[in-house]
Amino acid sequence: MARTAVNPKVLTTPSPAGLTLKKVLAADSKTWKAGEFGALSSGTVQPVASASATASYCIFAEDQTTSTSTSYVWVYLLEDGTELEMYVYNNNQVYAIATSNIGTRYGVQTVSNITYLDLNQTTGQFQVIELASAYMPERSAYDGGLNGTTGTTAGLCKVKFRKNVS
Amino acid sequence: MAATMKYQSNSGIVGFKSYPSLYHKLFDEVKLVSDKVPRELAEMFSQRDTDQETYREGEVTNVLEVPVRSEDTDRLHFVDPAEGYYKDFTNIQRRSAIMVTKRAVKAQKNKMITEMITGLPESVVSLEQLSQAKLFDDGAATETTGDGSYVFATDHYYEDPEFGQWTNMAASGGTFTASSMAAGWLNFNTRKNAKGFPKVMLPGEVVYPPALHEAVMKVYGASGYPADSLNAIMPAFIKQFKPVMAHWLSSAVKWYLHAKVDDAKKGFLWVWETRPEYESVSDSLNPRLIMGKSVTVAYSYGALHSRDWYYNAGA
Repeated sequence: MARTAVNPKVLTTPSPAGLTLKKVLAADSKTWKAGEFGALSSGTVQPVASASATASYCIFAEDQTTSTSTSYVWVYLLEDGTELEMYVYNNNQVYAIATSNIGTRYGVQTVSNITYLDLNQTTGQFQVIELASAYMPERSAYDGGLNGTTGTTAGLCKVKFRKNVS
Repeated sequence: MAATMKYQSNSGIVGFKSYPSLYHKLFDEVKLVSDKVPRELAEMFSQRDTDQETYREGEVTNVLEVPVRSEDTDRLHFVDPAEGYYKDFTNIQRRSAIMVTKRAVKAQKNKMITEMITGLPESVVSLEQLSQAKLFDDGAATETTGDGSYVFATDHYYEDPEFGQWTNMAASGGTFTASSMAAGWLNFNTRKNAKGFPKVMLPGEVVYPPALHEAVMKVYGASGYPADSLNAIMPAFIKQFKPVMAHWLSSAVKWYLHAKVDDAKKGFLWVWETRPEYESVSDSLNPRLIMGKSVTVAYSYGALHSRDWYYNAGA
């Protein structure tokens, strides 16, 4: 069964208590869905760009239909060392993940309210550390493979958030 | 045939001359045409009570991702279950009343007028049945579940959309046969849970209109397997259902397969804000209005989910 790409899932955090849930000021006239990544711009949070983005800041905790410059919204702050499970995108299509991607830091991209790891941006904050097919081999077999097929199904991998942009 | 009683004077109040024929006094006996409303679909609904105009019910699953390959020195993977869908039920209040005048009772000198009042609670039962049947009749066209899809649809999302969509509707309609029933059984047996793992259900009841009774009974009582040219024995699993004929369904061809689930797992909900309340009606400034009853009921109905259903649009 081919999977449908969804927003990243937090697997582990540096702090045992998980990510910090906090209210921050939203940028004007933006919308997003829960689980999408946000970035800071002039002190306000907004969704990461639909094109390759190098810097992320948080995960939105709730859907937002319309934000105003006075909206404070709930977000999970991304901490250095947080491990996430992410689906993969590249060159305007869902993309396969491979062992050769391990160790490289990539950016992110949001398409239709889903934030993907963007292999097209090689100077981001998200370092691929393991393929889902390796840490869930039986699940991968059951689902018909978790490495994905370029253009058809997105690959799935574990990434580590690194605060410093390389 | 001519409608000989086509012209009636229905004034709302049962008064003198309300029933012109009865006042000729040529009758030796007047019979009450009483009616008993068939009550069939209520068992498919799980009932709720609320004091509010709107009622919201939601779901959360207990299905977690499988444990991953991990050494002692690895950080633990934390997993959480998917939040499901929710649905709002907005109650609508309905009322009606019956009123009889003193002159009407005196002139008629029989008890039929007062017995007519028994029609009031029956009218409420009819309303319930109409509402319940609507969820079935319009289940593939206007009525939706918490996930936003129609009650009977091919595009329901799992609680975790990562695992795609599921269907509770036959891809192409067909009448009730051993084969189409087996397709329903297969649908129930290939359902998945929030993480895409098997979530098996077994057929409980087949809900069908009277027009399909013969077709259903053919399967229900068959010992041979008519679809098999060798006349094999009918496999027992195909006949393991309870037939429920539903006279309120408007379609003569659509049929529905309900899974064997307990009340807590039923997706069709019936929310009562006011169960039927009957109150005496009188007018203190008009003592000739001698007896009246009003009924008030407020409720809503709908499908939080339709996982316990399979639908065939018929042929």
